[in-house]
Amino acid sequence: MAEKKTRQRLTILSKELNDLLNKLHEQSKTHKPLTSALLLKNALLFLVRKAQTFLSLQGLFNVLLIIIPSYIIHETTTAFEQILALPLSSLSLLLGIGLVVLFLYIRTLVLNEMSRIGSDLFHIEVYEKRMKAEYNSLISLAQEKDFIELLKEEVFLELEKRAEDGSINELEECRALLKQLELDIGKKDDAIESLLVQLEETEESAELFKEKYDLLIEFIYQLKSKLNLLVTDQFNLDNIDFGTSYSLYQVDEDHLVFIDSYGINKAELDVFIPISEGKNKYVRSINKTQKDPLILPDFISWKRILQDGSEWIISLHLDHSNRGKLNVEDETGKLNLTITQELLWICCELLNKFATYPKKKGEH
Amino acid sequence: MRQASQVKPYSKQLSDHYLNKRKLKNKRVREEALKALRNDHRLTKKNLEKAGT
Repeated sequence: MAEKKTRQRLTILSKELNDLLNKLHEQSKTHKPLTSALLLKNALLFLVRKAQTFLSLQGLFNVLLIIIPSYIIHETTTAFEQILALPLSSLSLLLGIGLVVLFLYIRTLVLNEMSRIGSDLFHIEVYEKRMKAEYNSLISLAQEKDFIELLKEEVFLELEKRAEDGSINELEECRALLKQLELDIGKKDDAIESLLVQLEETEESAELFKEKYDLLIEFIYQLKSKLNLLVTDQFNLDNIDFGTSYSLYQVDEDHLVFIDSYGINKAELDVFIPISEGKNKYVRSINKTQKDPLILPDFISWKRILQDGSEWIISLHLDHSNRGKLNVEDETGKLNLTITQELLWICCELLNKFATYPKKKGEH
Repeated sequence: MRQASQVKPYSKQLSDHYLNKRKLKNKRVREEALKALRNDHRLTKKNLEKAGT
């Protein structure tokens, strides 16, 4: 907006001043010295032009404007007669005064014409003498041709350049800002992607923990029910269900004595197993521990020494319903097995302490 | 004894329900995040094209 206003002002300035200054410039370069001859020549030219104007309709009108009032004065008064009646010396004096006044009047008119910029009679020295203040102000601007026009063009160029630079800078700033914003967005995107991966992993972990938690809670409930049985003196092996069948043997000198089992047909189990039967899976479990049990397909077994020093062979009998759950190949299966082992051991301790089962060889 | 074992303040169904509820919330959040990511990628591509011209 401001730029447009500046342009308008410069255009007006140029339009008004450029021609004027150019004329001053031309005159300052080509002017002839101001001599009496030049003044006389210009005076004659001026008078001729004035005389020519008298030949025009307006000129004739002007002449009539002088003649008619003079005639009226002549006819109605005696002014002219009294002048004509004056002595010759007086008439000469009057004529002389008249000529001097006329000369001064014409001189003034000619000098005015010679001071008028644009007139073909214009002379810079006359202008300088008669219009000193204007001359001093303008002559410095008339040192070169088209000074104002050139100035205007330079300013226009400068304004355009500034506008261009401004828009380029603005564009560069916008690009830099855009780049920065894109970098920020990229960082946020990376963060979101990382969070999504974390979310996925956390969900998987939650699933795993939930599964373990469910199992633990199930065990806790079972334990609670067993303790309940214990309190009511109803605790026996038939009540101990850990979701898998199991059997218990006690090591007694040179053989294993069957204690009890759950989920298995007891008739199928040997009551006594001589330790000399080295290939028997129960006998093989004597050298196995809870941490490193004997693992066969559908059979996991280990020896556990109870609080009273008795040695028990605890065996899990797997089937299709719990094979996956207690699969030691994966972490969950290992955990499930450990939990089952611990709870089973506690139940065995309880059973050993409170339940009535044949504790000695031949008592069952 | 049976009565005692039947009273369970916690059950597998309860934990399933809680986990599924949580998963559903996560699913919505995930979808919104993926949508935002897709928008970001499209915006970045558009801006790069503009900057190129």
